[in-house]
Parts: sequence; C-alpha cells; structure tokens
Amino acid sequence: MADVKLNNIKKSYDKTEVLHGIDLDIKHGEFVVLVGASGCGKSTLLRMIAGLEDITSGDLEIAGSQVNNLPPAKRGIAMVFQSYALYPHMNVLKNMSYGLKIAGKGKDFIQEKVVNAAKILHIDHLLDRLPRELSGGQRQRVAIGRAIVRDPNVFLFDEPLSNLDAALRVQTRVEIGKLHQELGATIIYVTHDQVEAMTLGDKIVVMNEGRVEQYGSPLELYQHPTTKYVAGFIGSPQMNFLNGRITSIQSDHVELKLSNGTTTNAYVDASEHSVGDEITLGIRPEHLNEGNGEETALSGEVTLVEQLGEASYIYMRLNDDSEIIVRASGESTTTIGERINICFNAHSAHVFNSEDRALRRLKAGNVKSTAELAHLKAVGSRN
Amino acid sequence: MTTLSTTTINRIAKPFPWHILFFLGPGLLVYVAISVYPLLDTLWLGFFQENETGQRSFAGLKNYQDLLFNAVWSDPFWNALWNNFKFFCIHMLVQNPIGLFLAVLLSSPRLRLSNTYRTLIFMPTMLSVVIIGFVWQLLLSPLWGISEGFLYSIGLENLFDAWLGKESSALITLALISVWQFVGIPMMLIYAALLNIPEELIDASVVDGSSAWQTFWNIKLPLILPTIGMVSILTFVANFNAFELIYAVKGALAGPNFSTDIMGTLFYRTFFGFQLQEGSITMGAAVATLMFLIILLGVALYLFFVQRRVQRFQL
Amino acid sequence: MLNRLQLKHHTGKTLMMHAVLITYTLIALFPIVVIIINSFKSRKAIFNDPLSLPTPETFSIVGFEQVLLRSSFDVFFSNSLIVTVLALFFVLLFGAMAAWALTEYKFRGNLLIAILIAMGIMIPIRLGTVSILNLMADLNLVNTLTSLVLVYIAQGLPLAVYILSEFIRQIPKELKEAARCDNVSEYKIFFTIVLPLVRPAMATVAVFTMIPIWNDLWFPLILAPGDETQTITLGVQQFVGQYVTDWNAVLSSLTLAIVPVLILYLIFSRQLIRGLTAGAVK
Repeated sequence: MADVKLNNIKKSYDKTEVLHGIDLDIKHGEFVVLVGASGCGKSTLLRMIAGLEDITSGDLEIAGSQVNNLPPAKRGIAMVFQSYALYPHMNVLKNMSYGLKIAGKGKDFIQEKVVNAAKILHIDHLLDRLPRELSGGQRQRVAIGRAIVRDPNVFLFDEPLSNLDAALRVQTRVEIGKLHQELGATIIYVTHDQVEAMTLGDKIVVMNEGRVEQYGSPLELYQHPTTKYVAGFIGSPQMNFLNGRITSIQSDHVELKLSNGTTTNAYVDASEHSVGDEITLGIRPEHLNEGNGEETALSGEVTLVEQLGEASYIYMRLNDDSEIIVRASGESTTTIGERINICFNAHSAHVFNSEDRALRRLKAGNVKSTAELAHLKAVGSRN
Repeated sequence: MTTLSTTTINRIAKPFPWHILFFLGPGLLVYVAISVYPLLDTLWLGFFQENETGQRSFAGLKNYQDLLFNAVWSDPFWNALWNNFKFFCIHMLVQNPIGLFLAVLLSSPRLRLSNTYRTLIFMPTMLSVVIIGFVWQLLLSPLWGISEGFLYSIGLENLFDAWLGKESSALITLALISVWQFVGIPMMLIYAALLNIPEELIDASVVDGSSAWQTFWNIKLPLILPTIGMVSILTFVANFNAFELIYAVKGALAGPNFSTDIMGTLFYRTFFGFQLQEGSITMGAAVATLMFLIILLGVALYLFFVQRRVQRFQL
Repeated sequence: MLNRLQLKHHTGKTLMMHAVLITYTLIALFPIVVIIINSFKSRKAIFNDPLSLPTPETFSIVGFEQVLLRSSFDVFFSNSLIVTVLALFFVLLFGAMAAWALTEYKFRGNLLIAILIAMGIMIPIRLGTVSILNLMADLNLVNTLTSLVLVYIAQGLPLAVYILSEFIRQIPKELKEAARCDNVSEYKIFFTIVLPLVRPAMATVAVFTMIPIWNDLWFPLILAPGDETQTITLGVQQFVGQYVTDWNAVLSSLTLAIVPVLILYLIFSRQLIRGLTAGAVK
C-alpha cells in the first residue's frame, strides 16, 4: 500500500528554516493537493518527497519504509514538472521510455508500456514527434505519460496546469481527475490555485509560511476553516471580514457588536473567550443577500457592480468604511451609488479570535452545503 | 474631403530614404572599402603574375598550378597545410575537451568560488599571443632552466628537452601553448550553454533514475552540441588564420626547418619575402585565396552539416 | 548512518572538484606570475632562484630602466591607446547605426547587405592584406595610425552589427511607434531612444572589439612598422627580438605589456564574462 507519511519534516537552507515541521498522513489512492501562496514552501515539500531536495530533519515514509536517503528513482514516485521538462532532443517515444531504459528494462517491455500509456492519454499518434512539434496540451500529456510508464506508487504534480491557457486548463484538470479514478494511484499535487485544489483534491493541505495551516477535505475547509488564512484562501470571491467585539457569551452562541454598530449572533463555541474580546466576523459573499429577510442586516453604499449573468457581485462600503462583497442574484437591479440593505443568516457566520484562529462553529453545515460546493465548482470552471 | 486627401497622399512619391543611407552609409563604406574590396581584389590578384620590372600580366591559374604542383612552391604549401591541420587537430583534441571538462566542473550547482576560478582561468586568453609566445619561450628555455628544475622537483627530469627547438616536437609544443592560452574560450561558451539547460530537465532525468554520468551523456551533451559545434568552427577559423605565435617564437622562417610553418607564416613569407626568398604580391594573393577557400570550406561544412543537424535539439 | 556516508561521499566529490580546479588555475597563472616576479629581480637571482619572490637583496628594477631607456614604451603605449579607443568608438557608433538600419527598415538589398556583413564574422580580414597594403599605399596612409584605425573598424564591424542587431530586435515596437506618433524624427529615435537602450550590449561589443585590436601584431607589423607608429604589441616584439640576451630587459618589457591588460581585465572581468555567458554570441 502506497501510503505516504511525513513526520515532522523540516528544511533549512544554511541557517534559515523554510519548512517548520510538516506532519501529513496520506492514504493509498488519495488525491492530495498542496495549496498556498507562492513562497509558502509547497514546491519545496514536493521536491523533498521526490528526493530532489535533501530532508534536513524528520522522517519520510513511502509504502511503509523510510526513504529519506533513497534517490528519487528508488522511491517509487514519478513527477510531472511545471515546465513539463521534456527532453528536447528526444521524440515522444524516447522521452517516455528513457526512465525504463535507464532501469535496464527489455525492449518489448518498454514498447508495450509506452504504447499502453500513450493510448490512455490519446497521444499514440504522436510517438515520433519532437517536443517542440507539440502543442502545450500535448506536451502536458507526454509529461504525464512519462510518469505513468514508470508504474509509480505515488504521482507528484508540480503546478502542471500553470503553463496552459484557460480553456485547456479546465479540460486538462478534468482529465487529471479522470486519470486518478482510472489509475487509482496516490497523487500529490501542488498548485497555487484554490479552484484546482477544491475540484481535484480528496484532501487539501493549505500551507502558509512553511507550516500546514489546515489539512482536510474540500468541504471541511470551506465550512470549517480553522484559521482566518484558510477562510480567506478558500472561496471566491474572498470571504468578507468585519471587526467587532464579543458582547455576550451563551452556551450555543455569542452576541457580537461589529465596529459599524451592527449587532449579531454567531453560533460558535466561545468557551475559551470572554466578553469584550476583539474578534473578526467572517461571512462569505454567497451568504449575503439583498434586503432585510434574514437575521442580521447591514447597510451601506454601493461602489461597484459586476454583472456576471447568473450572479452579480456588489461591492459596498459600510458606515465604518469597511468594504464587503455581496454575491447577489443575477436579476439584481442595484446600481452604483445606491444605499442598500443586505442581510445574512447568523448560522453562516464565522468568528476568528485576535490570533486569527477560528472559533468552532456549532450549528454549521445546515446551510445549503451541496449547493455551495456546486457554486464553487461553477466559479472554478469559468476561470 | 477625406477621399481627396488620401488620393493626394498616394500620388506623392515616397521621399528618398535618406535616413537609411545616413545610418548604413558610414559603416558599410568602411567595411566594403577596407574588408570586402581588398578581399575580392586579392582573389583577383591571384590570377596575375609580376615580372622583374613590376609589370603585371594575367596568368590564369598559373599561380595555383605552381602552389599545388610545382615542387618549389608546393612543398612549402603542402607542408604548411599539413602542419596547420595538425595544429588544428591538437586544439580539437586537447583544448576543447579540457574546456568542456572545466565547464562541467564549474557548472556544478553550489560550487563555491566558481566565479574566481572562471576569472583566473580565462586570464591568459586576454593577453596578446605575442606576449604569451615569449613567456613560454623563456619558460621552456634550457638557458633559464625553469621547466627543467620543475620537472626535476617532481622526478621527471628525464622528460626535459628543448621542445621548441626540435623538429619533432616544436609544432606540438606551440600548439599546446596556444591551447593553454585559449582554453578559456571553449570553457566559457560551454559553461554558458550548460547554465542555459533548464534545471527541471536535469531534475526530470534524476527522477527517471539516471546517474550523474548518464545525465551528462544522454541529456546535457546533446543539448550543448550546438555550442560545441560553434566552438569547433571558431577554433578552425582561428587556427587557419594563426600567425603571431609562430612568428613571435620561431620567426617568419618557422623553424626548425619549417617544421612549424603554417598557412599564416607561409602567407607572410610569400607576400613579403624573407632573407633569400623574394616577396611576391600576386603569389601572396594566391596563398591568401587558398586560405580563404579552406576557411570557406570549413564554414560551409559547419553550416550545412553541423548546424542544420543540431538545430533539431533546440527547444 | 547512511546519511553521514552520503554526506562524506558528497564532500569528497566537492574536494576533488576544487583540487582539479585549483590545479588548473595554477597552470593558467604560473607562467604569468613567474615572468612578473622575475622582472623585479637581479640577473643573478633570475637564474639562481627563478621561483622565489624578490627579496630586498634580490630586488632590482634595472630591467625596467633599460626598457624605458632603450625604447619608447610611452609612445608605443599611447599609440595602442589611440588606435584602440578611436577604432572602438567608430565600431560602436557605425555598428549600432548599421544594425539599426538593417533591423528596422525594409529596403531593397537589406538581406544581401546583412549577409555580406555576417560573412565578415567568419572570414578574417587578414586574407585581404595584400590589397589593403596596396590601398593604404595609394592613400599615402602607410605608417600612420589612421590606417590601423580604418582596418580595425572594418575588422570589428561585423560582430558588432551582429550582436547589436540581436539587442535592437528586442526593443519593444511600441516604444518606436509611440515616438513616431509624436512625430519624432528617425534620427532622434535612434540617438535618444535606441542608443541608450542598447548600452549594456555596447559594453559586451566593446570588450570583444577591444581585445583583438590591442593584442594584434599582424597589421601593425605590415601597415605601421615605423618607430613612431609602433603599437605596444609590435614594440615588445621588436624589443625582445633585439635584446634577447638581456633577461632583465626582456622580462620587464613583457611585464609592462602584461600588467595593464591584467588590471583592466580584473576590473572588467565581470562585464566581459557576463557578455560571454549571456549568449550574446551564438
């Protein structure tokens, strides 16, 4: 079984530590996405798993044995690089068979492997082309094919879609998802794009400044972000944040007063906090509605309206100058300069303390979760 | 109104592009007058002969016939050509492999001081060939005995000989001096080519399981082939055009007994004369023409075979 | 354990590489250093102990005194400087102008001229020496620095045009088009927009042009061998030929020719190497 276990993995260059003790437990067959802003250490971590970077300290286990000091080829991994890294002087056939040839495999064996992989990827008619004669999408397939023929336990993808244009990116993303179903192998996939992460991953690792910020399923990250960073990173447009204070703590909810004067409830566990603590309220644009129909209402001036057809993004400024975005229905007639009221269900609110950690939500999950995820994927496929 | 004005504009003849003449004129004038015309004139002069009174008459291919087949002229010519070929081969076999080797060492990742090594190894290349010739002449001089002393200190004193003075070793020694001076050029160009190979490509081959040697042989070497081709043609042109080193160390007679005579020194002697030999403008032009043809042949071979083939390897 | 073994293997390899590189660096520097240190020693010390540094007892600059007394090194030096600087200036100016004309404007014969100039990179100008000497004689320019400057301009132009063309091609079209929309003349576009933008390339071209000119022996020997017009390379060659037995003088003259170039090289090596490795010459 090709589980991958990372146990307190650290990485330092000279004296600067760039990864501060990463623990991850990846089960066989899982599709795990490492996501985070550039410079968060996600690519370094992937390269350490691949064996292209030394591990400063900690243990890396693949399929039950420690592989810290094994060369890449002995780890049972295969990697797909951002630039595809196809050997420019070899044709597709040679590119895909190079690793097997180095490993000393027989000619017939190699031929069969390569042809099979090429068929899966629909590139069997391109085998005698050179990389420079291929389109971006085709190169991408060859790079994946080169990984497949090695029969690895674990596939590593380093931002494989970032060099493709938007349309091709969506198409290839879908194909990588299908490929995962077909091969059933473990995949570790690095990206900076949260939509790729949400749509592809069984599990997502959100990284920030060399640490794992949160590790969980896409829906978990969306509904129960444990930090403000994750809350802001997952979801598009970004979650709105409003400053406020706790005015009362009850067993199943807290009462908050926001800096613009609004009061609201939030259904979170505040047992470790006290009245008067500063907090940040988080509310996603898709959970805000025009009008006064729900528990909590805010009012402000509209500064910009973006009409997407099926929805409109209303940018507005509240009395205390904080800015928020509302995802309103596509039929909304709101125009710039108008003063409008918006409202939200207090069950959909998130609360973060002064250290940006989330207070545990008590009654979440009852808010149209499947629909929300569908929306998220729809947003993604447009990008 | 609009139609009228456009038709008027169309009717006005384009003004003479004075600015092109301004930009291109001066450079082209100097280049044509001092480089292109003399070269063509030289090719033309090769078809003439001069009598004692300095009168020129058309002689067709007579000069070339003499140069290639009349022993008085052809012995020195074939000797020089053969020597020059040896001179070139020594460069190809010694200079370029050493340059490649040093470049590979220098390009290894995270090597400290690599800039310093690079700068220092390239230093002799900067100096005049004449100066370098003298430097080595002194170092190898049995009078001074530095080389002898050095070989003695490492127990190889039996190897010492007056290398520059012997017919059998003079040309090889001169070629090695030239190699010593110019090894920095292949080193630098190949080093640059190695740095241009994307790192991910090397990573990919490591993931594919190839050892450092396999990566070099299968991935890096094919990708720097165009540069090696270029270095070779540069070496070829420079070698078949060389003159200074031989002239500085051995004089125009390229001794001992013409054993170090190459095309450059032959050309100089033919043109200017030296000691007993009388100089001839037209014969000099014929030698220059043959040098031109040799270099042209080399460049053409490079362009048609090497460059066309290696272009496949570019990304 | 494995880790430590690997580490050891690693450092061993690095040490080997340094050993090889240091050895080769010594091979590259040794001859030059020997010449320089011995030029500061007395004749006796040169022969008795050629590999040691000059000491107070062995120190002597008699060689330099001889050189300066018997030959006009100052004249040679200034001749070289004048020829190199003038030729360099015109190579850069004419080269940039021609490169601009060839890359920017479409006109009949453009490609032909470009090929003609490109051929000059590979075909040495030396091959036309017979006719160049005739030409200079007709123009009454033999034994003048002008003849050398002219030849070196012609020699340096092809590579300059080639490298500068590559750079000029990279200048964004928008810059020139914006200027043309503002009715700026072609001359002004070149001198105020294009020239400043290709300055980094000029530095590369300058180094590649300068070195062969400064070091050349062939043309000074043939076109300007007179006492007043000898360049430093020719001057040293003649001097060494004449005083071959005076070791102090010979070593000093070589040192005088080497040291200025080395100082310049060490100052500009960064630029030169950047030029060489930037792929400017492909």
